[in-house]
Amino acid sequence: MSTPINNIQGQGTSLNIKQLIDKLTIEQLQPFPLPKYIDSLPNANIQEFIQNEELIKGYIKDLESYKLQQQKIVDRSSKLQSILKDDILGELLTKYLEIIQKIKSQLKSIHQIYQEFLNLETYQYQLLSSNFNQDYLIKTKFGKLIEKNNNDSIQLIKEYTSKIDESGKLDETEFNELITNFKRSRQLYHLRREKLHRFNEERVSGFI
Amino acid sequence: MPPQLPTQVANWLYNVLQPQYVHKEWAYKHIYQLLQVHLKQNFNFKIRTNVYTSTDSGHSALLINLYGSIPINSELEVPIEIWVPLNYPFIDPRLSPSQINNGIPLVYIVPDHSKSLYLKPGNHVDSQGRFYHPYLANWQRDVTFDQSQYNQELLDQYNLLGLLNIIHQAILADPPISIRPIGIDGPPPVPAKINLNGSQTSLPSQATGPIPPPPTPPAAALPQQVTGLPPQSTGPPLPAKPPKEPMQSIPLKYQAPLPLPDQGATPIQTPPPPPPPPQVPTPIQAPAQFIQPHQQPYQQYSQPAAPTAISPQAIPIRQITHQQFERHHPIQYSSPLPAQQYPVQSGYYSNVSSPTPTPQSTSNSISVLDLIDDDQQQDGNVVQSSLHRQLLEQLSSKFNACLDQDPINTELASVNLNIEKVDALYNQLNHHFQQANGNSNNLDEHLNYLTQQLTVLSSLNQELSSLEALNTQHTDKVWLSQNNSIDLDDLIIPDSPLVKQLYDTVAEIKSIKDTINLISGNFHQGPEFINNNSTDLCVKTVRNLGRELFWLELTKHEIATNIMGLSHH
Repeated sequence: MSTPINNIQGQGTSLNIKQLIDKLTIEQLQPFPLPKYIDSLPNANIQEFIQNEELIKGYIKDLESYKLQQQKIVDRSSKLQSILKDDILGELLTKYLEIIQKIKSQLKSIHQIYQEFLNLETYQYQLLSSNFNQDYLIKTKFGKLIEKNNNDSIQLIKEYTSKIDESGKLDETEFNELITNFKRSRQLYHLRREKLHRFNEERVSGFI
Repeated sequence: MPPQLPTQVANWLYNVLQPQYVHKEWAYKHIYQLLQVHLKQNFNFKIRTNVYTSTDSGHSALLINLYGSIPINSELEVPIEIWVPLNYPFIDPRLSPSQINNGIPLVYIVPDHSKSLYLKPGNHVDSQGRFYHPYLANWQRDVTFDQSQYNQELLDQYNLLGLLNIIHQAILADPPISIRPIGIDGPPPVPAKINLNGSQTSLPSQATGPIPPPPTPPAAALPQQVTGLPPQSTGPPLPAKPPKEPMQSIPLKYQAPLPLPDQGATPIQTPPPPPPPPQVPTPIQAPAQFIQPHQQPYQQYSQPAAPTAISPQAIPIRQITHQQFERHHPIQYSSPLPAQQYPVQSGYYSNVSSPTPTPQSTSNSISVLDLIDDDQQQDGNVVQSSLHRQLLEQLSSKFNACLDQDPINTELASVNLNIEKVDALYNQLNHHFQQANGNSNNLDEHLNYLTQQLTVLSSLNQELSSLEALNTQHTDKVWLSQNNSIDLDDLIIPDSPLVKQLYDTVAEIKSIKDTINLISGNFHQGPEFINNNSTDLCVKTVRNLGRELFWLELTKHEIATNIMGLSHH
């Protein structure tokens, strides 16, 4: 599509139509020397020739330089017509309409891209806010992690209690293991809880 | 080999011969040969045209006049004029030898009286200065058109160059020039001159024809000439005019206006020459039929004659010949008016008022052609050319006026305006088109860029979606990319290691308290582990926990109170 349009670039200088036509002067007309059939006339006849404007006009129009000027004007007018018809109307305006259509299509494409960008941008904001939001990460996800620690401690107790027989006698090894695991679990629970608490008080820092 | 003549001289000669001369090839050849040898060299001959008036018939014609000087010694030169008749070099046996169209060159000795040179008639020169020689007689006898038109040898024998050699020899043998007038001790009498009022002046007035030598009047006649008598009564030939007289010194008798051409039916009516002496050249008007015998063969021979718009019968012969001469030889057209008098178009007057030099012409060749030195002819030409020039000036003004009103100029502004409009339209359209094309190219680049960015954005969103799944799956980690994650505990970091130690100590203290509560059954309402069977184990465990708690409390107090200076809450 762009090939024929590109071909027209630079045509403004190639037409070279700015040359104006000079006014026909008597120097260019070169009515003298008079032809023999006039110059040889008696002065009275020349006087009569001078008085007759139609004869003078006819003589002027019969001169070669006058015809050349006429032809020059006709040629220039024909060239102007050709430029108007072929170069401007036939080619330039056609290409102009083509480029207009192309630009319209490009603008439409850009508008579509913009709409798609808005959608993607919204979706991206949603993804970012849902996964990497501070409240989500600290209060929700971290809070869930603390709650999980608490549940893990309770689960340790339940598991140990289920192993105790009816007499209530404790196995020293298992009891010590329970105490160690429970203590570690509660230490992690309280450490995370303390962090969250201090975070809410803005007394700790982090990469977030 | 003699040098070639200047091109302008050759062209001029050719143009002069074309209209009237019958055998123009022979005339051209012989004149060319003569000028090759003597033009501005040797005898210093020059060429011109002038009106020759026959001493026999009184007829006049515009003939070629060759004139120069043959040196006799270091002080004396004999001025020679050779007139070339119209039917040169062939003889018409029906005519008198002295007639203009008789074919034989007419040779005259023309002494310059201003240099005190006077004619001395002799064996070859009569009292009028006419030169006679057996060479000319033989020419007349031998060279007729019927006999010699194909006789090359005959015409090689009789030609102008040979004639000039004969003249040279004859003059050297018997010089026809003397320092003083023959038979007169004093200076010669001043010839009579006719003034406008009929009186005579002493200025020479001979304007046409050969310049005859001044007559040698008897001593008794001198007083009459001094007192001034009309030429009709005196009869003697007019004295020769001084050669090379400046043009502006127009004799008084020619200062009167001449009749206009449209008054040609009554041209200057110069009285016919008096019967005696018939040799006196008289400035009469040649009858119209005089020119016909020459025009007829010319028309048959070459091209048609001049336009017939002018009736030869209606115009004096001098005008005809001069106008024809001007038309065919514009180089002789000298303007008496300055070019500044023609303000209308200098370009035109450069063509009319002065000779237009052809590419081959040179200025010095113009000086060779002393073409107009006839006072009468010049005087008439001044009037005619002045009138003609005025008409041309009016005509030029008319041309200008008509050109100004002609549509070819009046509509030209509209045409030029349209040219400018079309040019501006095309340039503007082309400029805007190029801008639009450039903008379209920019839009293409933007489209490509935005499409790429959109693709990148889509891929980022896809990665975010995958990260969301990972983060949901792993509760204790935060996934930043597919290959990079951090622990959730690392999101909150204590400000300093001391604080971290304090956090750890506090967490451990609380964990020990929870453990003690667990053993005692106070943790979330869980079961009590102390009973009769496990008292010792529980006491032992609690005692260890209590000891550990003591040290931790001590550490906490040391860090918080003593080191960090925290207050108790």
